[in-house]
Amino acid sequence: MTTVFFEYTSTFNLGEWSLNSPLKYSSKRLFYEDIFSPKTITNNMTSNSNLSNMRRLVEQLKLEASVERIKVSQAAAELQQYCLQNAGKDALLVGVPTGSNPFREPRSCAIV
Amino acid sequence: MACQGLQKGETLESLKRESETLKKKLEEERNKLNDVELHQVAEKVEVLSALSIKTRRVLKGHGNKVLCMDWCKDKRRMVSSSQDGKVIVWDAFTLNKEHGVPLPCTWVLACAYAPLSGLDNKCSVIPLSLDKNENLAAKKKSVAMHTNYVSGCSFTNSDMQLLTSSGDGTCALWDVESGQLLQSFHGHTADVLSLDLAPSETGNTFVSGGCDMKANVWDMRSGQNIQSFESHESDINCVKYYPSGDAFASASDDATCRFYDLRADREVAVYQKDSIIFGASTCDFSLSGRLLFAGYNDYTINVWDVLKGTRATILFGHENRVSRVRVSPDGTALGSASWDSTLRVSWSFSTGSNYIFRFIKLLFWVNSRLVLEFTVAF
Repeated sequence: MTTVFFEYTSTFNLGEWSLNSPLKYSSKRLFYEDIFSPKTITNNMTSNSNLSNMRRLVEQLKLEASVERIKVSQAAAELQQYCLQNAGKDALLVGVPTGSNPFREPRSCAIV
Repeated sequence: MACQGLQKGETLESLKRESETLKKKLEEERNKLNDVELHQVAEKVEVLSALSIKTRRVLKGHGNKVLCMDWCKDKRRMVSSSQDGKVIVWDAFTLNKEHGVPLPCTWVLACAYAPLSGLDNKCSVIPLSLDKNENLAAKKKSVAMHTNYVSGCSFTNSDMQLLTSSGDGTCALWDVESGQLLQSFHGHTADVLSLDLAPSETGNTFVSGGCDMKANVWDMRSGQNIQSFESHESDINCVKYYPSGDAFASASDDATCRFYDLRADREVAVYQKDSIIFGASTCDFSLSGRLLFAGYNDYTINVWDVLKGTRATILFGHENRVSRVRVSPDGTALGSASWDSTLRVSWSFSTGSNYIFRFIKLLFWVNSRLVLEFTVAF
């Protein structure tokens, strides 16, 4: 089975990414390449490569199914704990002193 | 492997059926442990007070869209790359441009700062290039060779290795000195748009997201795909690890950002709003992981409360798509790059503000604008 994809170029505006692509897995290459270089992508799927792909997929799924998981409640609790522990150090949350520049070299002040 | 014939009793149909049953089993296993939602667990957490994050600096100098930016480990310098073919290193304090490196190629999609200060001022840029063997200049090295554009790159902890993601659907680990390919990662069925390394020092995993709507977690040593998450409805533009390394977020063209926990092996939060219809192109966490900054194609940056799933605030100012947001290494500021050819640096002032300081500032403003600029620079 041979599937041929044609990249359309004439209606393609380099500045905008068209969401009306008929391809399910749209290639972002369209987005980045020069619009004046039309290309044809050919996807040759022979029965052999289909088979090996399926085999690989099955192996992969078996591997993923055997992953050890913990409960969402426990995972969420730990994420929350990390957030709260570090919230004090988060300068975007608490802020830097008004009017100061966070990029200034910190000068040390000695209290006499 | 490609030319092996059918095993005994195996047919394409039987393999398909097996993969379907395995997929269902995977879903069931994941759902068994989904006893509560993240925002339910976070109900007891205090609601965030009003954030005062605002743009404090605008960096102008690029001639065209800024596609990528990154912070240097010294927390003060930024590197940015643009469609005009230039890579500029900025000093965020003085707003000076320290280096300007012209490149022969115009679409420079990714740039990263080498983590060790020994490689002082070296920023490695992997250009979108089909001229794989081009040796640009004495200092610059063409390290990564993919058969398609390189969409993202990252130095590993050791700094001697570079991890790249490419439009050819693979990720690859390279040795910087020799340019040799150490490991390649196959599994995506479409362009890989983004990757992020696990934050821990000893970590050897990374996550990648691509146009096949999947986010995959990989083991760097074996090249194995450990976990895979498929819940987005469109291309994943950016993936970023949570600071603790146990979770990651992804930003996608389907106008949502999603949060996945690695140990629970599932999606635990979706950040979306009916009023947001444009795709998110980039995301990054704040230092504590409480805030998720996401840049969208409607020129805004939405700041999400990661635990509660609500939007904390929204940053306006850019006049075109936001192509990259990055929090500085010490978490004090947010840098954002946009197609309007500027970079903006934003930070937050603490709300217990100094009224006397404000009054003095007002006096200066009344007197002259020059004096105001002096104060602002301070």
